[in-house]
Amino acid sequence: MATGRTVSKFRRLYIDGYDLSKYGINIGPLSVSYPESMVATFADAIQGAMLGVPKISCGTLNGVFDNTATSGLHVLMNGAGGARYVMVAQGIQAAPAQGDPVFCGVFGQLAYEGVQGSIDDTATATIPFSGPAVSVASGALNDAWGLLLHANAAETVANTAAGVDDGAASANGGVFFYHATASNGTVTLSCQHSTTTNVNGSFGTLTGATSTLLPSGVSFGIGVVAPGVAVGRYLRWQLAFTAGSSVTFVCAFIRAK
Amino acid sequence: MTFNVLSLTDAISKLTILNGTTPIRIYDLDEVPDEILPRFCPCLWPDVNAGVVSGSRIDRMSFGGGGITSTGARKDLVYTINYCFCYMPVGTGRMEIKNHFPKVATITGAILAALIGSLDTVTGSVSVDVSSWSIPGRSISDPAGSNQFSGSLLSLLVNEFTELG
Repeated sequence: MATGRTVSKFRRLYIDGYDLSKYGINIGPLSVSYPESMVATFADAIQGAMLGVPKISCGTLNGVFDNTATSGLHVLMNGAGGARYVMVAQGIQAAPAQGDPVFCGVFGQLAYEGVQGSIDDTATATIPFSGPAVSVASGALNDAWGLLLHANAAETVANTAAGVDDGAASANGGVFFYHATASNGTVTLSCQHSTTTNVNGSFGTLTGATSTLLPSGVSFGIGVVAPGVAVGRYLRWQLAFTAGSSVTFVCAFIRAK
Repeated sequence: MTFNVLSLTDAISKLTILNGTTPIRIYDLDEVPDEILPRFCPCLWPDVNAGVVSGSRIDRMSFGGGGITSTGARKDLVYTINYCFCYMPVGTGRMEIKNHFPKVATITGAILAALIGSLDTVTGSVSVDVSSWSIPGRSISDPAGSNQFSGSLLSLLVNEFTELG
């Protein structure tokens, strides 16, 4: 994990278990905003904002039109109207690494629009998203920016390393987001936490921050840590195989405020 | 702040670019010979004739003073670094033109593939991209200006953050 500013080539995009980085031209704005009240009256001195009710959106994805079988942007995204598990990892002066900023959410895909490209006449696709999809229980998640726990890479054994320091503990749950882009068996992914120290022996289960038993191939999802549950300052990824030996995955944790 | 041209030319000099099965010779900035002899070819070298670095500018990205430490204004150091590729001296061999130019095009493609595929991260630079290339014909001079070669010209656009060491 590095700190500082960066450039967009170090951004990575994952949707529904697939790494779509090579197709992404731009996505955003990746926003968490608080709307102003719509019910101000003549008698109100000021117009207030609803500070407890954020509006979360990943904006619009513009990508390269590509119909590569199984994994092309067109093949994966040409059906609008459903929920999409979106993760945007922002590497800092390098490819994303543990501890780097990440934006996650489950958003409704509002449309799929084939577009005449403006760069070298390349055909592109425009994909606008709604706010969080209400059909997917994501708890009372009131943020979308969190920390990357594991960059997209293969792992074959359980994690015994230190995790990432998220600055401070919290007490309102959060959501564990994961995309397994390849797996040769069945595996469970999870987020562990530690309240005291960032060493292997201090990490324990974070209730709710666990995937279902993932099948081989591609899978994705979320694990909801209920509001009111304490989340330790230190976080790390974990896995447990029930069959197979390798899983390639990316995961992150978004701490609710 | 570090001006990382030397890191970049060093990284390029360590690339493996094949002419068939034989690697071409790639010179670092401190290795460019004054005169390129036929036995050095094919070779790639920083363009010390037309300019190793060109198109340089500093783009201010934020408010504030300074700009060469983490507490100063954010500024981008943007420049183009230029290379020459010499395939063979003009007048070498029989049927020179029809023999040389396909090879120039093929090896230039291999150079492009290596630059695009291997220079994603170079110490000190946040972005390195091939910005242009050309095959100008039999008009590439060696640094001494005494020999003419068939070959190509290539340029890379580099972006550095001035606040980085």
